Amino acid sequence: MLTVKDLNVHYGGIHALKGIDLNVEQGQIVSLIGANGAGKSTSLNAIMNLIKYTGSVSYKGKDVKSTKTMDLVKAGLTLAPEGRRIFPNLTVTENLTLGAYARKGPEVAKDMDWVFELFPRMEERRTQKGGTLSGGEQQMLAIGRALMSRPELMMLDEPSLGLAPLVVKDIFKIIRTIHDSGVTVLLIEQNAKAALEVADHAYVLEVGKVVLEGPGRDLLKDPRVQSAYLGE
Amino acid sequence: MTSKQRNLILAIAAIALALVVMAFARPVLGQFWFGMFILSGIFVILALGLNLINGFTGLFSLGHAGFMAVGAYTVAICTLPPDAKKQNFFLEPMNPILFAIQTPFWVALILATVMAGLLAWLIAIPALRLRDDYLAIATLGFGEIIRVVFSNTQSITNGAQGLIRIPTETSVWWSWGVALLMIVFMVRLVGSSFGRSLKAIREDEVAAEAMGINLYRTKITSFVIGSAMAGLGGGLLAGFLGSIDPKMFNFLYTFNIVLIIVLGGLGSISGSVIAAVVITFGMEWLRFLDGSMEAFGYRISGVPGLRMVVFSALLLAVVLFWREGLMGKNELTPEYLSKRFGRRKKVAVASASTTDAVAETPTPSRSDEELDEEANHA
Repeated sequence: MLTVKDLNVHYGGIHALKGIDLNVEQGQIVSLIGANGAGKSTSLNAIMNLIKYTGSVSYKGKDVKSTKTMDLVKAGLTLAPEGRRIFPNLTVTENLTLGAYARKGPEVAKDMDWVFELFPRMEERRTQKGGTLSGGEQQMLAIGRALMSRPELMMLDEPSLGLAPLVVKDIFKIIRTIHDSGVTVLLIEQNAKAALEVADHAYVLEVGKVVLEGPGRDLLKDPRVQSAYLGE
Repeated sequence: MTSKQRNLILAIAAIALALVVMAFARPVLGQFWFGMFILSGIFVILALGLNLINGFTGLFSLGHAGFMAVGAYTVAICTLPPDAKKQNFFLEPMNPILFAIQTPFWVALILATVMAGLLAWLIAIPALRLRDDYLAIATLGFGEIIRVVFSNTQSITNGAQGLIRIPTETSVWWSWGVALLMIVFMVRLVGSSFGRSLKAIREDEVAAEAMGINLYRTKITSFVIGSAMAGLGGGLLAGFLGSIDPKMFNFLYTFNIVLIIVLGGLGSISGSVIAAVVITFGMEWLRFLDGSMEAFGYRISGVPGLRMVVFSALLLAVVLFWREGLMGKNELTPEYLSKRFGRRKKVAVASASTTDAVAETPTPSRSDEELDEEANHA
């Protein structure tokens, strides 16, 4: 569904991504783990065509470089960005409606009901401003907003960032639910354990390179992963 | 009755009330203040235009006066009668094509809007690749360029001499009629999907782009609409004053409008309307500060420009204590009023005068100390 080949990104003089290869098959949960500065978020931004890159990224056979971000969203690719990045001065409903910006029609209301079903808390707070929600709620809103575009492939950038362990658990439960409803998921995480547990396939990124890949369960047992990311 | 129906009824009632005020303004206010009332309608239009760009889209534009100039000159050239044109252009004859143009006021206003919008579009293409302070500097520069060009195109604008004897067609019905139209237009625009995308850009450009919003095109559209409104306001201003010259469209004019939208609340339509009226009347009312005064038996000789000092102090106070302006990002809806005043009725009575109103929902970044301070001020 998503194929990344020899992806290179430069930030000025810094070579942030040094030729990474990724593959996401339909129906999978794929995790991308790594330390700060490994290039995880950069990869997702490149896949969304939000930054300049060299190499090839193709989504559903389409070359991403020549496709505008808005058309990628229309084609079912969506990103819940790092740090949630909800619209703080807009209400929960407005935030969600904006998630469906790329498409119009009567189904938007239906999808909103679905999001409210997934996150009952959001329905309670529908008229509240995004910025007044708690961190966990903001993350739910960010995921809900991404779902409003009816994604086929949803990319989540560190959904557990700065959240209490119990909330992280909830978020991962929701990711599974979303996956079960037929959405392919590409997940970026620092919380390696949680990310590897849900992953069909996972990649370990270190300073701009893929150093390890394999099924999530296998990576959990890998001694290198255990010592570097799981603290065992 | 749903809240939607109730709001519609309230909106119609508000418009009806405005029409009544317009009809009876002259005898009640007297000739001079009636003129200020007409002017305040023009400022409402100008403020709404700039608020669309600065408040709703978050683009820091400072070129408003330039687009006003375009609108004002368009109306002047279109409506000046031939003999007035001859009289105006005594240094150098007027361009024959422009000399031949003669349109009714309403056509001139439409042309003013279109011309300002067109120029805004041309400027936006390079300028909107910039952000924040850089955009502010670029638009400020473009605004000044327009003014300087108008000072030097002798055969088109009569240069620095300006134009006189412009038919004064801007009645209260024109200024406030168009203002009401623009208020309705803005309410519809801001509530639309396009309006939401503007606010999304203001809040977070990266997230907005990830939602599939075309940043560049959306910003340009907002800039063009806002600047076209400046042209419309400028055109009405020319028809109100009867004479214009390039010098009056300097940066200070933009500053006045920035003052209005900051005081009213960046991102609030009702805030802009209230502040436009208050500032227009306040500026005139405070004129006594510029003249000589008697206080406690002493005679203080006039200090020209003292009212500007007072207004600057006012702006400073707003920035310090009510960072969100009068209305913040809220609108004057029944929901807002009940939320704002229902909770603490006693305080509401004390601060009934609108200028004392503080920003509504405090942003989470504000400390409790600041909030206490706000409460004290209220």
